[in-house]
Amino acid sequence: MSQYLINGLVLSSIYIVVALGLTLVYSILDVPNFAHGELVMLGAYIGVFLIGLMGVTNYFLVLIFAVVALAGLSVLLWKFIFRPLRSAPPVTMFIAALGLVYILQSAVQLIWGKEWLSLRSPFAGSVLLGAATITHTRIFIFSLGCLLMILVSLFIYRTWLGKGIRAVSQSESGAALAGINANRMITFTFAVSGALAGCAGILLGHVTFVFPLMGFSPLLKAFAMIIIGGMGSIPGAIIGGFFIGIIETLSIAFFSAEYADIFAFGALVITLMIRPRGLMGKLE
Amino acid sequence: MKKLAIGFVCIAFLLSIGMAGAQEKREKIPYAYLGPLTGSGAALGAEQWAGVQLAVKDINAAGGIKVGGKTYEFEAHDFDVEESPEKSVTKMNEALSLHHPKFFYGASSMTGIPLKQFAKDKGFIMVAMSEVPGYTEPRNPLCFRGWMKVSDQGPMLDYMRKLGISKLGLLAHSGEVSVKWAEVCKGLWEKKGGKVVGEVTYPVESTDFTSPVTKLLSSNPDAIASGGNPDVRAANILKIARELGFKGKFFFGGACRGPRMVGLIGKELAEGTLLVGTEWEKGSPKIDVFKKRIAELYPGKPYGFIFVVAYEPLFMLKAGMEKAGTVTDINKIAEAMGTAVTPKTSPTGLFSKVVNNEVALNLYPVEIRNGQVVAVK
Repeated sequence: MSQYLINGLVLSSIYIVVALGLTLVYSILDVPNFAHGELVMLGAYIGVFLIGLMGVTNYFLVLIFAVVALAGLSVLLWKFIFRPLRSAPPVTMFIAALGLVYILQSAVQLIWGKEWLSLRSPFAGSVLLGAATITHTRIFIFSLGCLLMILVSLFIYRTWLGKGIRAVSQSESGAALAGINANRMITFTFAVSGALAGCAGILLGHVTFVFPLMGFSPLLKAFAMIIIGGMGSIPGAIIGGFFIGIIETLSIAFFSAEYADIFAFGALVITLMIRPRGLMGKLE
Repeated sequence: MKKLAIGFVCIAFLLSIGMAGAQEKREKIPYAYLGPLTGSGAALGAEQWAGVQLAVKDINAAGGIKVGGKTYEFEAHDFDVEESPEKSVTKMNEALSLHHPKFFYGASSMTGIPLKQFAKDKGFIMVAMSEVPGYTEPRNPLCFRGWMKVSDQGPMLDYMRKLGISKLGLLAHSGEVSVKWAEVCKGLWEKKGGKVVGEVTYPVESTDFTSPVTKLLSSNPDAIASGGNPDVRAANILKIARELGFKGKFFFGGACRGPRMVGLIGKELAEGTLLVGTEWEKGSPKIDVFKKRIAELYPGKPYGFIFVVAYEPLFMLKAGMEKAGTVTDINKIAEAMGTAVTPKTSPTGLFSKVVNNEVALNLYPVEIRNGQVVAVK
C-alpha cells in the first residue's frame, strides 16, 4: 500500500505544479488556457535538447533555462495572442488557445520529430521506505513539487506582486483605482505560469517519455484538480491535486488500472454535486 | 547542314516528348497505408511508411507491374489513424473516397481487425501487421497477415522455462492485441508447467505505468511478459519496473523490436530483455544486403524488421497481380498470392511463402545483449 501512496504523491506533485500555472492564469483571465499542456511539453523538450543533444551536464542550469524560456514564451503568448483578444468574446480566446495547441505541437514535430525521447535524470539509485521503493529521481520530483507549491503560495499571499495579482483577479477596475497596473500584473502571472510549466515539463519527462502530445494528459488531470479545488484557488489546486492522485492510485490498488479514471472523475462529479464551486472555490 | 541539324533536334525533341508520354501512360495503382503517424506509435508508423515508400520506388523503378501487355505503377497514400480502431474506419472511408484504392496496409491489429469486415463489401485486399489470431481466423480470403501470430510465441516461452522461470506476471493494455496476447501466453505458459501469478490490464492511452507495474510486482513474479507494445511503451514499463526494484526477466511480444528501446533507456537497463526474433535477426546474404541498404538510405534511423514488413507486401501484391493477370479483380489476385509469393518474389527472402493467408515466419528467441538484439542459443 505504501508503494501506491508514494506513486500517487509523486505524480500528484507534478500535476499540481501544472495545475498551479493553469489556475493562476484562469484566476486573471477567466478563460482556461488550453495551451498550458503544450508549455509543459516544451519544457520537457528543452530538457531533452540541453541534456541529451547539447550535452549540458549541469542539471540545475537546464532547469533554470527551461523555467526562464517558458516564462518568456508565456509572456509573449500573452502580449501577442491573448491580450489583443481581451475585448473579444471569451470564446475567441478559448479558440485561440486551442489553435496554439496545434501550432506548438506541430512546431515541436517539425523541429524534433515524432519519435519519443528520453529525458535522463541525473539522480541514480533508490531507497527503501518500509516495503516501498522510491528512486532518488522521484524524491527530487516530490521535493521540488512541494517546494514550488510553498513558493507559489508565499508569492501569491505574502508578496506585493502576489497581492497585486489577487487584486486584479478580483476586480481589474478596482485594482486600477488602487494604483495597480493590471497589465503588468497579468504579464507577471503569465511569466509565473510559464515558469511552472517549464519546471513541470522537466519533472514529467523523468516519469514518462517526451513526445509532442505529452501535454494533454497532465492538462486534463490539472483541470480536474482545479475544478475539485475550486477554479482560481491556489490552495484548492494543491488539495484537489493530492485528492485526485491518491484516489487514482488507490483505485488501481484495489480495483483495476483500466477503471482508475472512472474513480478519479467520479470523485470530481460527486464533489461538484455536493459543493458546486469546488472545495476552496469563491462564491460568485 | 543547318537544316539537317535542326531536323535532328526536332526529331530528338519529338522523341523525348513521345517517351515522356509513354512514361506517363503507365496507369497508377493506388495503395493506402493506414497507420499511426502521430501518438505513441508514431515511430512505428514512420518506419512502416518509409518502407512502403521505398517499395513503391523500387517496384516502379524496376519496370512496374506488368499485366496484360500494360505496365502499371504503385502510388502510395498515407493516412494517420493514430492507434484508434474508430479512426481506422474513418480513414479507410476517406482513402476510398479520395483515391479508390483496392489495396490497403494496416499497421497493426487496431487497424486490421476493424477493417477486416469491410474488405469484401468495399472491395479491397489488406495486408496487416496483426498478431491477433482473429485477424485470419475465421479466414477472410482478402485479408493477409504480414506478421507473426500470438500463438507462435512457444519458442520464447520454452526458453524462459529453460532458464528456470516459473512464476510469470502478465501486463496487458486494454487494446485487443495485448489482451489476446496475454490470454494466449497464459494458456501456453500453463501448458508448459509454469504458473501465472499476476495479471494486470491498464488503459492503452496511459503514458505512466507506475501503479499498474506496482500492482503486478506485488504478485512477486520471476518474469514479466507483455504483448502489443511498441518499443517506446515497453521501454517505459521496463524502466519503471527496474526503478521499483524488479530484478527478474522481461519478455515483450512481437511489436517490440529492441533498437529503439535501447536508444530510449540505454543498453544497461535493456540488457537481457527477451524478444521475438525472426530470420531478420539471424541474417542471410539477402537480408544483410538489405540491412546495409536501409542503413545507408536512412542514416541514424533504427529501421529494421518493422520497415521490412511494410516494404514486402507490395512485392506480394505485384506477384499476385502478375500471376492473376489482373490489377482490378481482387478475388483473383488474392487467390494468386497464395502461390505467386516465393523466395524469388521477396527482396529480403522474409516474405517467401503464404499459407492460409499468413506469411510463414520462423520465430526464435532473441535477447538484448550489450545493446544488440542477438539470437539466443
